[in-house]
Amino acid sequence: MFKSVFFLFLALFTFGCLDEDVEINEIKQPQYKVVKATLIEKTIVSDWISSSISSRINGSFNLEELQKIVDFEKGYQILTVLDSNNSNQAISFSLDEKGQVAFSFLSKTFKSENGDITNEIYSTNGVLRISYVDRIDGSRSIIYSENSIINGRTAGWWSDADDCVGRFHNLTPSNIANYAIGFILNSATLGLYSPLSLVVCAGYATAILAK
Amino acid sequence: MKKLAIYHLTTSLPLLVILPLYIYKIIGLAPFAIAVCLYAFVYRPIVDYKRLQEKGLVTKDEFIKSFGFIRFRFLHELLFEK
Repeated sequence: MFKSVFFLFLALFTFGCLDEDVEINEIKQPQYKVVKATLIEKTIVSDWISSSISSRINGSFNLEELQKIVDFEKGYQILTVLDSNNSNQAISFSLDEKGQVAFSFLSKTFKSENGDITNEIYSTNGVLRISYVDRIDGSRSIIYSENSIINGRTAGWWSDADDCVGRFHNLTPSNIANYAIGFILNSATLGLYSPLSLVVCAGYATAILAK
Repeated sequence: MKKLAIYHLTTSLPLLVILPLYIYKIIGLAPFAIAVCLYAFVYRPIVDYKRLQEKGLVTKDEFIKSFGFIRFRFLHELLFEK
């Protein structure tokens, strides 16, 4: 009797914890809005550019085209303008409370044939700060980070293998459920699940590296 | 020794097929969970039972009554003995 209840609980627990595709019927307001920057904002950015950025960069951005992207959900806004010579490049600014430029960066965006979008973020003096890929399945991977600790963890063979192991051991959004599922699967397979997933992931990462 | 190798191969191969199917996104999460559960709770107990029965360590009744938990008593015989 106890064992029957145990197996019933196990089945309910395992399948109950899986992610389900929830259909969202309500119509959501768009999170972002793009509007033209005001004359004041254009002047602030223009002054900042002429005093801070090299003439090569200065000449390739037409500030008349400066746009403001507003994130309604997070309450952020950013000013951005495309490079008139290369529409894959843009320069972006955020203003502080006093209305001065607080932060600026250059970005390059590329779309691959399979739909993945790679973004490279540079400082205004051309140093690559971070690079990441937004995949069509909605996932995002950091390819490069200026921070060597993050970079070591997020780029290369180790990162791919690490990512893969995570997918086998984070089957649900709940850490406790993931731990329990891992424990049950390892017990039921007499300890084979975890070592074998490591072997498969090592092969997976090696295959990606060899591409 | 040969029998032990065949046992490990028989138990590893299905998982070596299921895991890449999921990681290469050939199957989704739900089919993966079903496949792993079938492996862990049906296929693997059957393979383990056959090996234990061949060694004369358990009977069918004992195995069924224990819901397969009797395997844990004979871990060494299952995984390491020729």
